Amino acid sequence: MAVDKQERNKHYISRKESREIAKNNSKMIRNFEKQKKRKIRPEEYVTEMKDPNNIVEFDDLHTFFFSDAGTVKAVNGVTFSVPAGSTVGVVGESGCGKSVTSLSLMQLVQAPSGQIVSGSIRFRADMFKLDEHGRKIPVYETETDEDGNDKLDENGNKIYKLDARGKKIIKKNELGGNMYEMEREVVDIAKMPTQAMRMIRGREISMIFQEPMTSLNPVFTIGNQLDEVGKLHIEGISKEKVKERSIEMLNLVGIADPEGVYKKYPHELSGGMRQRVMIAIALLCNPKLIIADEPTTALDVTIQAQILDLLREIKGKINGSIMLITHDLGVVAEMADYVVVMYAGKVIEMGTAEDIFDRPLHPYTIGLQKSKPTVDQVTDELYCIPGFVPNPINMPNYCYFRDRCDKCMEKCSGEYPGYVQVTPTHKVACYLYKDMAKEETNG
Amino acid sequence: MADKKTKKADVTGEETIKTEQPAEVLETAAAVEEPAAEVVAAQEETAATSEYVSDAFLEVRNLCKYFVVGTNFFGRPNKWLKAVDNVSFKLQKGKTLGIVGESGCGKTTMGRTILRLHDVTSGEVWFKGEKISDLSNREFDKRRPHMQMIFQDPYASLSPRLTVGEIIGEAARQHGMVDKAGFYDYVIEVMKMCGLQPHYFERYPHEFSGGQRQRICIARALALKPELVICDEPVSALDVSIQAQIINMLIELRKTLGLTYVFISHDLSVVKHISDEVGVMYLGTMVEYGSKESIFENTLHPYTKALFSAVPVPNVHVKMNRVILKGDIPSPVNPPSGCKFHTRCDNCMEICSKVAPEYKEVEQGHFCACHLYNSEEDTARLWAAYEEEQRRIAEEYAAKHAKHKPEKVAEGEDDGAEAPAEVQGIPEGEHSGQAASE
Ligand SMILES: Nc1ncnc2c1ncn2[C@@H]1O[C@H](COP(=O)(O)OP(=O)(O)OP(=O)(O)O)[C@@H](O)[C@H]1O
Ligand code: SF4
Ligand code: SF4
Ligand SMILES: [Mg+2]
Repeated sequence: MAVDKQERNKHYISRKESREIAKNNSKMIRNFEKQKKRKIRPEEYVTEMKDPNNIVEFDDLHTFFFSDAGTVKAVNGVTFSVPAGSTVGVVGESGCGKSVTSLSLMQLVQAPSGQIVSGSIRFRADMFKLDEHGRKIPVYETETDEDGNDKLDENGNKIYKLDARGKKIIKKNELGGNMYEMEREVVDIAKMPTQAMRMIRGREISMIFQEPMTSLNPVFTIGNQLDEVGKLHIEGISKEKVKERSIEMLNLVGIADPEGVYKKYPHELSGGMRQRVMIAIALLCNPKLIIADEPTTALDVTIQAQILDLLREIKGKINGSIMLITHDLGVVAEMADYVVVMYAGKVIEMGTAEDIFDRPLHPYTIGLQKSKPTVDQVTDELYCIPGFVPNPINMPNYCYFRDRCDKCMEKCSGEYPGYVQVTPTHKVACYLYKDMAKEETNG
Repeated sequence: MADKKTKKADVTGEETIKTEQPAEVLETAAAVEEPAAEVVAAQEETAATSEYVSDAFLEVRNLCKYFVVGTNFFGRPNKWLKAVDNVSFKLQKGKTLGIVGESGCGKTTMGRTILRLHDVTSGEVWFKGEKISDLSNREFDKRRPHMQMIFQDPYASLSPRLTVGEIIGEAARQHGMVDKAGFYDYVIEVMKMCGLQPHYFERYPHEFSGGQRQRICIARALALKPELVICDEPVSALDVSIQAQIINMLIELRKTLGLTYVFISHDLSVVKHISDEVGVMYLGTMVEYGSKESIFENTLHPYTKALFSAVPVPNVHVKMNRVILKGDIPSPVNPPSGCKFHTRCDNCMEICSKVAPEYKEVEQGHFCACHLYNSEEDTARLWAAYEEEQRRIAEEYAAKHAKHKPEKVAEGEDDGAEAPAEVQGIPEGEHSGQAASE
């Protein structure tokens, strides 16, 4: 019983303490919210990529939840990147911060308690050019000669086509929406005001969730919902064009009867079909990056195989990148080019899929792989990682895995281990390999 | 009676029973009032073999569980969901039967029907040589401690108002397995067995993680000293590392207590790890059944093959030549005719969409329901039976229509609605095949 008391006291907070925490929290939150509401000033968030081949770079990202029981460090210093055109799998067990990482990238962390506290998320985006008033600059139809070059008047200016009322006509892009002047920029999403983020969300990055039923509105038809998203993100698109596009997308995701499904309600579709619809919605605006958060967890295996196949096929077609979040090592092995393993809000190991599955280094990664029975192998007893993930409110300052680790050494009680670059592609945060690296340099 | 039952269910914490029982009773009451033709047919079938005595630890014979999902104008049920449709298997003591299949294939319903948490529509369940499907409720309650169930969701199935100790021990006390004096020691003993610390006794379930809650659920089941435990997706809601802990514990307990498990899961790798025998279900029907080795090494049924090849393997070098099934799982309310899998099967033949395949022993102890394994005579016999059946239905239909002609239009419509239900009925061939295989 004595043990029980102690254990309880460790997490116990008095009412006074709780009030204190709440007061501090609201002050912090107010600050963060003010930051997000400020005017768009590109110079504040335009940056440079570390590696020009990447499309996303997370750099020491911290996303916290300010709860009354204390600060939950859901994402606590996450660094990894998504190379353009690749699939990056983020794996880890429940509560390790996979979803919060991806929500941070969309600026969709549940506010006000959840806030990006520090670090950066660099993303290469095609941003609208803005004039001095912060408005988008349209591209107008011009008179062209046979070769498609602009005709110029005597002053060397372009000649614009005019409509019946004598107004300049805005050029249409390949999706049928208005064309604006664009520029390719690297932006830091962690520092972007919400208003600027709206230009990226859904258009440049889109997201597929685990349970498609909760993200589809039950009272509108599938067609309605697709069109709505299309109209929102493709400005100036006509009614016919938007429907055309919606049906084209339903076709693309392998729905046999797109016209029929267009008229149906979400509840009339099976789970697999709904997930296909979600993917169609995500693809509407030709995004560069698709975040798929457990896209197949709620589905049956034979349907999962269909959806994974579809995602692979689509990635090739749209020439984009996928950030795939899952707890299923099998799905990652099948889909990902690069793998990021998370534990308790931190990345503990990352590398190519071969690195992680053929040469796992971190005791947690090794344990995770051994504890899952596989269909193609027979084992007598499953390896089992003892204990539980530490309480996210009172994270220790030593290696978060120490209390469950069978390789634990004296050193491990020191400060949290830094990354060891084992090969050019393979990084791990564990003292075991620090030693190894040292020995190599010594000997 | 109903009142008492509800109270007891609450104490043992099996709230799922409490909530579902009344609806169930209503449904079956409706069904009993006007037994449908096909239900009667199925019941007659089992009555014919009443001298049978099972020699297995657990045997299920032609078990059916139909839910009424539609009633006609007069409130008579005319539409059934065949959640479990003619399932048979035998299980020996100390063995584990793994049941796999996708959502809606009737895995859970089968488990619950064996334990009579649902009423049996037709068929028999034998437990230790006794036909438990025919026992009165009171008689069955006496045997209930020997058969326990562990549920999927460790969050929903624990009462939040009781301490862990009370949750685990209460049912045992109810059944008089332990007195007040010995209660604490008894519960602590069970808790230790399930890897729960003694000082958890006074705590409440909400203070625990998913893995520990599942341990509490297992402890609650084991406190009744059961011989048969039906585990319904016991690890699906848990993380991989916690899954491994629970699976190892279940295997350990099987050894030390000599338990027999029916282990229901959609996760093939887990089923392969824990089972001795494996049954594969599709839309309420057992499509393949056999020892783990025979099922995994000599897969027969096209659905099982597709299911196995769909499981992602955590190995980057295994590039499977995957069978990707086309289409969705059909609705169990309106399953495809003939072989229920024919809408998605690559091997589909002409007979498949018309005649349901027989569930038969293709090799020693390895059962499969697929026309691919028919001999020529089998196929000819099935075709003949099918044509015979069609003729009979047509005649009956015509006769009925003639009889009712003078009556009101509404009556005529009613009969019209009933006839198709009969067409869907199990052709004679399947039953005779079942009997022959034993
Ligand atoms: N709205 C919120 N308020 C407070 N804490 C939160 C909130 N959302 C998430 N958290 C906490 O943040 C941590 C990381 O959560 P996250 O959802 O990212 O985990 P995950 O890796 O996606 O897990 P899962 O596999 O279960 O989806 C957890 O400790 C969780 O409890
Ligand atoms: S740093 Fe130490 S405790 Fe942490 S994972 Fe490595 S060996 Fe284990
Ligand atoms: S009976 Fe026919 S449709 Fe059914 S599984 Fe066998 S081959 Fe396929
Ligand atoms: Mg998540």
